[in-house]
Amino acid sequence: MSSSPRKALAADPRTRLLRFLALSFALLAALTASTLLADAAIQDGVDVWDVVRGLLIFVTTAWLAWGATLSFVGLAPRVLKRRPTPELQSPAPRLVVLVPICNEDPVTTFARIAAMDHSIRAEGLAADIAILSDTRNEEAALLERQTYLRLIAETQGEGRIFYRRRSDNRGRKAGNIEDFIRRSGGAYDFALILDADSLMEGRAVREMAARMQADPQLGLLQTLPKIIGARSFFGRAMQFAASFHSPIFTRGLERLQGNTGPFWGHNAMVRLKAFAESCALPELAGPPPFGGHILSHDYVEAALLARAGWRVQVDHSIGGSFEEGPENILSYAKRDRRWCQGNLQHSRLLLAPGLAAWSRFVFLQGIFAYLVSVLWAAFLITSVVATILAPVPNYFPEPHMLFPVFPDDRTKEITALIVGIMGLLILPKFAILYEASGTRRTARFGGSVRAGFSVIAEILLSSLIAPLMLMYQTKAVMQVLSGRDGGWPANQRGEGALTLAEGFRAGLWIMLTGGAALALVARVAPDLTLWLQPVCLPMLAAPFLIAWTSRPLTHRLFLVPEERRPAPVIRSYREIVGRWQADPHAETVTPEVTHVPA
Amino acid sequence: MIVTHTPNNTEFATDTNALLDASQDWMPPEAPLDMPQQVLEHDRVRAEWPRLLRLILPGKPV
Repeated sequence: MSSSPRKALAADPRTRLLRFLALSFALLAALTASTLLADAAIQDGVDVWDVVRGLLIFVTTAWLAWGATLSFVGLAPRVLKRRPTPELQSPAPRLVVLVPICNEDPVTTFARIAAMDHSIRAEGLAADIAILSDTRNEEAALLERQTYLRLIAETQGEGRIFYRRRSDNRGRKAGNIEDFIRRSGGAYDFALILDADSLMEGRAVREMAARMQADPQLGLLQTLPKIIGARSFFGRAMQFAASFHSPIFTRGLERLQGNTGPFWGHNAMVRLKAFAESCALPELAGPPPFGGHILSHDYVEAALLARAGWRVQVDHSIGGSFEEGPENILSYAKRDRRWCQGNLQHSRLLLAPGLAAWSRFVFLQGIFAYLVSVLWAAFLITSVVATILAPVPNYFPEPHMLFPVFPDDRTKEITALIVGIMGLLILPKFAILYEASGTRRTARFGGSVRAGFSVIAEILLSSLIAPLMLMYQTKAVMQVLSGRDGGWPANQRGEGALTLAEGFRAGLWIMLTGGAALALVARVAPDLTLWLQPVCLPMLAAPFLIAWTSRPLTHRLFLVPEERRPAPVIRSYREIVGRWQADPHAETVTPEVTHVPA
Repeated sequence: MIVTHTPNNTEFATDTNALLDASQDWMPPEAPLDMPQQVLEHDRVRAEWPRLLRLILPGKPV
């Protein structure tokens, strides 16, 4: 057991000031929202429901405002001059690319590896690649071995590209990487950790290695992977948002997190010495979902590196980093269920010894990312309950009054509250569009007009599916809190269009909940019916939305730079995977000839 | 631990055996690096105190 003797690096004064301003803005917005609601609610006296609603709107608005703050901080002009990217010095660091896989399609996964190997070698870099398989299914594992031979033949990768498979999947992905480091970590300086769907340009790998080499205190360097290969309406909207909005949000994150940056589990380079000495994760006491293996290990590893005094940084400007995203709402919700359990498990680590205060705050943010859905649902329910239980207005409060006294109309306050909340959601996106037009970044997204339409369409889609996400996340939180372990399901990659029947299977419960809520409100609190339409109508249409948004979108709406001009590594991957899929039974070199010296 | 057993699926048996034999040579180089396990919970340390007390106190089974 070890907790590092080194201390976490303190944030510099600029980072501390930014954090103070960002938190102040979020709290101010939350206070304003609570005041507006209280002003409207106390017309008929204060009861317990008003207090609960006030608290709920405070927390939920603070969360929304915090999200908006990230974009505002990201949009702020650069004050300090950007340091030039260092050149790789001789002797070159010993590099390894780690690709942990578990029940993945080996053809697409290994074709990506082949493309990356070509790209890395084209940059004049020497890097080994280790495929770390946790695949349980024997037939799938056999296919992995056969495809590995094809990969070796394709890349002439004998002695550089390795494959090993564990029978004991202890620790899942984190345990898989730990197993590699314990056995082979001493052979390398830096490891580029990838996911099965990651794709990285050799140029990006070179830049990251040079940055790690130039800064001996840098323990982890995270890139911002762009989503590629999306085909459906939902997938392409996500792809556009990740490409258009995420760089700004990530720049905000960079500025606020400073040296206590994030690790998103892939498309990041780690210093193996730092990782080995600080990131062996223990199992948490007790059974899952709160005990056992740490599910969202990446956040914890970032916190542990920072605890040990290593710098953890994210840099949105490193290009050539890609991944794939979910193609439909159902795949997204399944992934969210896993992340929800992992983030809620972090509640056990909020008081872990020696962590930087900001690392604890990051855990708290992750927990709130899911809890906030439950809080919104609770706010809607308490609003209905408060309306039902509100006392009947007394139009003649004094005896012998000739004229009635009508309660003040507070529709203006409620409208202001709704407009404010919508503003926190929408304003950052339009601010990013304005910035992108000013810097001509929109040119890569088909011009300002097309980018503008894409932004509006993405906002409309997000608003339509927000109630569905709220329901899925609320269900996930409830399942975790009631002790239901989501297990370790295989990733849902390549899942495409869903039929209406599949949409009904996935969304019927949301439709019924929405219908029941609307019927109940129409009966007991008809005044609220109109206000609840934006939540209830999308819920009623859930099966149709799930199916419709999963259909292919060939329109040039949501155009991203990688669609117009794919990066060389993407082109190379597509060429290789096309060839391999066209001829699945092509001769591979026999095992005897491809023996790789250990 | 690395997989070395033969799968039940006979359709792939011959190829599989060859591939399994070969897969031993596909391993990354051996260069062990120590990874000390990290302390994340106070509770585990606290949980040791009652056990220690029970060790000291007579008549209390451990």
